[in-house]
Amino acid sequence: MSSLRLFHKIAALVIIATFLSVVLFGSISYFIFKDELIEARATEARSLAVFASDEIKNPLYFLKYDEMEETIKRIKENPNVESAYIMHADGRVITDGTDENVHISQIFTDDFTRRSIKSDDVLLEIHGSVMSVSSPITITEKIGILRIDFSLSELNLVLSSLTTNLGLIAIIICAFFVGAGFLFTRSLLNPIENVKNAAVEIAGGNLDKKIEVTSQDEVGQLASAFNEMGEKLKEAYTSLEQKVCERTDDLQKANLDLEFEVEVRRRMDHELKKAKDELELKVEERTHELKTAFDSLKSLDDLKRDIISNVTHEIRTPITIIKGALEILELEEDPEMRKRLINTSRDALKRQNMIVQDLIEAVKMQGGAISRELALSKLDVESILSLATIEFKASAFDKGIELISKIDRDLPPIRADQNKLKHVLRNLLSNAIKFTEGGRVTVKAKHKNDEIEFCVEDMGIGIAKGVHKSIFQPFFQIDSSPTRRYSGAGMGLPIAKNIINEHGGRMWVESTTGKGSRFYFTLPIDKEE
Amino acid sequence: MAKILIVDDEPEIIFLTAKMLENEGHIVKGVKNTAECFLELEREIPDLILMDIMIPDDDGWEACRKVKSDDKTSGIPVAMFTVRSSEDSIEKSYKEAGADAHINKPFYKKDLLNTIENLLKKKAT
Repeated sequence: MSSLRLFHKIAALVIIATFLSVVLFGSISYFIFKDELIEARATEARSLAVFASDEIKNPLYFLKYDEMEETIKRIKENPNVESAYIMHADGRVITDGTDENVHISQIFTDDFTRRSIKSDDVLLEIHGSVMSVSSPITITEKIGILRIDFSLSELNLVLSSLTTNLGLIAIIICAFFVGAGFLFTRSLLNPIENVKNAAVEIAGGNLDKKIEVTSQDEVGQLASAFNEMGEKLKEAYTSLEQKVCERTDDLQKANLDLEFEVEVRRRMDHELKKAKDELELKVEERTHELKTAFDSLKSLDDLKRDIISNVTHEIRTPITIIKGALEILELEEDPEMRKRLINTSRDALKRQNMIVQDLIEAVKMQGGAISRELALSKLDVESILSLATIEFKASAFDKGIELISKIDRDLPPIRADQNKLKHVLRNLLSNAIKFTEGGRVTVKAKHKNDEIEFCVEDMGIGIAKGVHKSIFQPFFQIDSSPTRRYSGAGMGLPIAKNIINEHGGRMWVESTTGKGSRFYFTLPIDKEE
Repeated sequence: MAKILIVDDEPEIIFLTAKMLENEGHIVKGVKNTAECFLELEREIPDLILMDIMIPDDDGWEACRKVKSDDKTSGIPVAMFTVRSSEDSIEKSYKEAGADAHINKPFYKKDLLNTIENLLKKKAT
């Protein structure tokens, strides 16, 4: 139902309403009219029957058949009368108007007759399209019945033609109302249609659409309201558009800024990453360096502790010996023992002195004092070497060592501090002899570039490759602690090396354990001519 | 009176210390490292051990621990006999090595003799 257009709805309503009302009206009229019509006829019939029965009184009493026939004939002249009968009071028909003059003695057997026989009143009944009226014929008592049957067909015709007319009228009225309704609906619906179309258009985008306001009634008001709404919509839409434009602009700007920022950030991130990588690398390097430094510091620390222990031991042991010897000496009477004790003390003292001397040298070296005082002079190599070796000839011989020189011919003179050089040679030679049991110690010298290269070679116990550098460090001992055989504070080589370095030369060792050692050092040639 | 074992790598120290103790009537034997010390302990149990700490490639403290942990030798009083006089060293001798005494070098004769006497007295009880 809801899909039907408004017009259809109204049309249907109108038609149904009209039809129903017409039908109702028509039916009511029809029936009222029919009743009235029939009533009229009935009244007519009754009067006629009464009048006629009155007239028939006499003829019937005196049985004047001709008069009775006449009356019936006259009655039957009425076009509506179908048949008429005069009957005895018991229902025997006397005459029915036909000329046959038949004395019909039949007794009507229908109910109406029976009732008429019984009744003393005027009876009127309708059976089908026949209106039957019976009137008693009475003088002092009922002597007969007059019955007239009227045909209602004429009536029916009238009624049917009435019905037809009514029908036509109904149709005309319907049509009229439908037409009117149509026009009315149109006039009503048109504006609504307009509003609808206008709304569709506005919805479609045309915000300027306006409706023509043609009346002041509700439809017109609707139209005005609609127009207003359209206006407002347009305003709102326009301002919204503006706002959107503005926002879009803002957003675009912001977007550009953002892009810029993002780019900047990206670059920064890249830089940061680079920096981070570099940093990590550096950190790794530093960590490695630190670790190495720490390790060497630790070993230095250990070395320091060892050195300190060594030095402490070295210093305290001779003192202990001397002290002990003196205390025993105090109470000792045996001269042999006394001599021994005194000698022991003397040796311990010498030992102590050496250590103290070395320590002083070490301190001086730390302060750099040793290096400033070189008394340089031109020296002949051969002479200085022979001077040094002579000192050791005796102790070498004692140990069964052959001490020889292998000096190149025509060596140029060197520039050096004689005393210091002697100290160096002394140290190297004493070491060579000390660490050798038999065999040979050789002193060599040769000319190399602008230097003289010296070498002190022995066939002693040799020096392990791992400690070739360490032996030139202060306090380093071959066996990390003094024994009777190799005493000393471990300062000889460091001092010697220092002296040579100060002259502008170099000192190093070539050796393997068990295969002897070769200590080299170089000194510059005297360049002054 | 007592048999004393000295463990020290300096022969002169052994000689002088032994002389001091022999003058008091003790019998003294000297060895130059801890290995020889343990060999000697196998042979004969002394009444006292004087143990040097700083013998090269050797460990006096460790040797003292070993002596104290072995049932056979744990009853021998051990005196650490050394140049190492720091508080740490003294503490280590008593606490870690389980020594009965700690004698610093250089020493006074009477200090040495007193300490030894005390240790021997304690052992006797």
